[in-house]
Amino acid sequence: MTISGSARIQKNATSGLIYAVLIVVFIFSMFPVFYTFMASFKSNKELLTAGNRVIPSQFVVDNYVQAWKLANFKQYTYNSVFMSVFIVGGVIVTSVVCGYVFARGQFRGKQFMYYMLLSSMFVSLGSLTLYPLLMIAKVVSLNRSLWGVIIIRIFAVNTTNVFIARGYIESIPREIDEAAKVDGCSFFQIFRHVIAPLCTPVVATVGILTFRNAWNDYLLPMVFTLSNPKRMPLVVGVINLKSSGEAASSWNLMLAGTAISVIPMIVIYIIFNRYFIDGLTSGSVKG
Amino acid sequence: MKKRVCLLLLAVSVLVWGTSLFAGGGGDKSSGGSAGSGVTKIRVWSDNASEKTVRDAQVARFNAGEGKAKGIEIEYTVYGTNFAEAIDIALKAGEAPELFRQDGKVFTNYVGAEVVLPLSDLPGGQALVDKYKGQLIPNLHTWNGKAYTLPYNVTTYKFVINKDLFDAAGITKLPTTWEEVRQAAKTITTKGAGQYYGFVLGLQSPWTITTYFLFPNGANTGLAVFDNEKLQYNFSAHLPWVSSVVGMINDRSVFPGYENLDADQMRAQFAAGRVAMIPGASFDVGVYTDQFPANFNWVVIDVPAFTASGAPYKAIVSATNLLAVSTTAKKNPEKTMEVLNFFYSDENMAEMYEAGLYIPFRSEAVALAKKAPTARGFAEFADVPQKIILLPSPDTETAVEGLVYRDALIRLFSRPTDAAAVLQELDTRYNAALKKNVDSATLNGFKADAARVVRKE
Repeated sequence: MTISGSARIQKNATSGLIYAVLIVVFIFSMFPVFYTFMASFKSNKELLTAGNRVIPSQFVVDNYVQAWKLANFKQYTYNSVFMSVFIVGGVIVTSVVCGYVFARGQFRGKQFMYYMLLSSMFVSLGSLTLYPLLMIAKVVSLNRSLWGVIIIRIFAVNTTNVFIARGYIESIPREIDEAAKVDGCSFFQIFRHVIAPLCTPVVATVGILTFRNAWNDYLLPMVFTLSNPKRMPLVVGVINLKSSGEAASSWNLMLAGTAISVIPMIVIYIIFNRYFIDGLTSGSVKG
Repeated sequence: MKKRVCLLLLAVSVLVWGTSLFAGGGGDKSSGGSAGSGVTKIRVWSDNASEKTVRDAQVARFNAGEGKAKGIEIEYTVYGTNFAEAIDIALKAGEAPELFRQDGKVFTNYVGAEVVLPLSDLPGGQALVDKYKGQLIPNLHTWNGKAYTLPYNVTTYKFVINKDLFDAAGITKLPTTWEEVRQAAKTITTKGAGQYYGFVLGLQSPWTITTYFLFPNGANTGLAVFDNEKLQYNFSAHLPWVSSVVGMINDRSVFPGYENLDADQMRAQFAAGRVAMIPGASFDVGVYTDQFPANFNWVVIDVPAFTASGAPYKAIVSATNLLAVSTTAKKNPEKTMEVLNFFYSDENMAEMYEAGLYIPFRSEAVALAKKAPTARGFAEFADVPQKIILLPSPDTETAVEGLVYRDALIRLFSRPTDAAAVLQELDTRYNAALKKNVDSATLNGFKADAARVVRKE
């Protein structure tokens, strides 16, 4: 056997091992999704009595028809898209600007402020803030619409997004800033003309993470649309499907509704996937 | 690619922004009050999803006819899983609808916080209350002598049997006592040889202990857990049925894995034909006909008695309330009252009864029905000649330390020990807490008058 032949075998073996590991990971990752998708075609009875069977004994397409009808998908999807688009746009701007200020700005207390912000990553106040937020929104008459949710989600700065944005901007060579400064750019002009155009990957990353959160946001939109149920987002409608039947839960309808509602999330991820990975890895390696 | 992404984002933004301007956007245009052209919108919130189809049709008829003539439009919204939280936040934030369904202990807090109105505060409200004279119960319908809500329908409790499994096991006589239940469960389980079992529990849903066991056995004990005459807890009265269930567990006649089943799963296992007997409530008629269709010969029988001489007490039934009035109604009291009358009308309830949705609280509604409900088992569940309404108990006020009674029974059924000792310990602990934490004035509010005493006539 020649050296090149031995090297080829070693290379093939390594590739084979990598593929084997990836296939196992893929199966572990995708099986719950596949199981849920298949379960959405089961009858309610089969769902609760034959959990060990992946493929339904009979495909009940009516689950989807009922879910579509009962969850008012057309209206609620519009509401979710409306809310998510504005939140994503706003959060991208606030996160990248904050990230830039913390990465490049020079001002007293910067480190302290940054670490204070960072420490809030580990504190979850959950629904405790719900009532105070509603009260504040009521003062400015934003408590009866999705605009209240949009404004809160944009200006209640998401620490994870700022952390990712700062990490990414830190990875951009400072020499570019210096050159722009020599050309007469101010701090804001450097951001606008130099840094922002280089931030596509982090914009995609923050965008996808924010879209996911906004799309799945439940409690805050539910509270802000209490007086105006027609403006409820999709996730509220989908969760309500569980209680849409008689005295037992309609898990079949909720699963069908969930299966429909994840489609936009998957589409968005497929479109921005490449940038998403870039944004995450740049931030993590060089941040 | 960058340009395309930017264009895509821009296009979506413009689309959403543009359509929002023309379609009402994120703004609010239906928050109660005036609905335009002299029509007042009265909001009604409910969590009764099962009646939605019938109710929506009734509301549509009202809005197009009587409501239109009187300048009222009902906005009827059914909330799902988080209804209780939705009401709670809405009341605190002053965003509550004029009318909402209430049926929980938390309502006492709403009365205390004065965010709800007594029905008599509405013009004509007392006349509606008077239709229920002598039937309203303190802490359930009335607080401080004033009615805040009214009963609408009743839930009855029975036992559901898979007759096919009884036939297969050669048992011809359906059980009438708990001891016969245990014997039948043993015989059927043996015959089933691992394919089906005699009995089932759903310990992951603690409410099943109360709804499927403690309430139904009121016919045997004369109480659920609290003796409203002696003003004391009495768990030990339930010993016979608790012992039978522990016996079935020890006999291995209970569906395996019952510790991890919830209410939906236990009912689904029955509907799949794997269990011969299950306690049932009248709301299960819809479950076994629509949600988990039981495609075998199932029959509804009375709750098993403790002795062969039968249950000595009247059957306990739960009265479910329909609507309460929030302080929002102060803006339009007359029109809110019109809507309240509409919801409580016997004609509307008769329609619900015909559809097999409810057993009406008022017999007048049954008399108005043009046809009897045809849903399987409904007639048997509705047939409760001697009944009393479940009286409220001071559970919340008692503030007992340690395991609450439902959890104590769940632990007993998960790891069977001495049932009598467990019930005795509950009696001692609960009555001690009652003495320590509940003042006599509050406690006397739970006292039942003599007319409600529960022994069969």
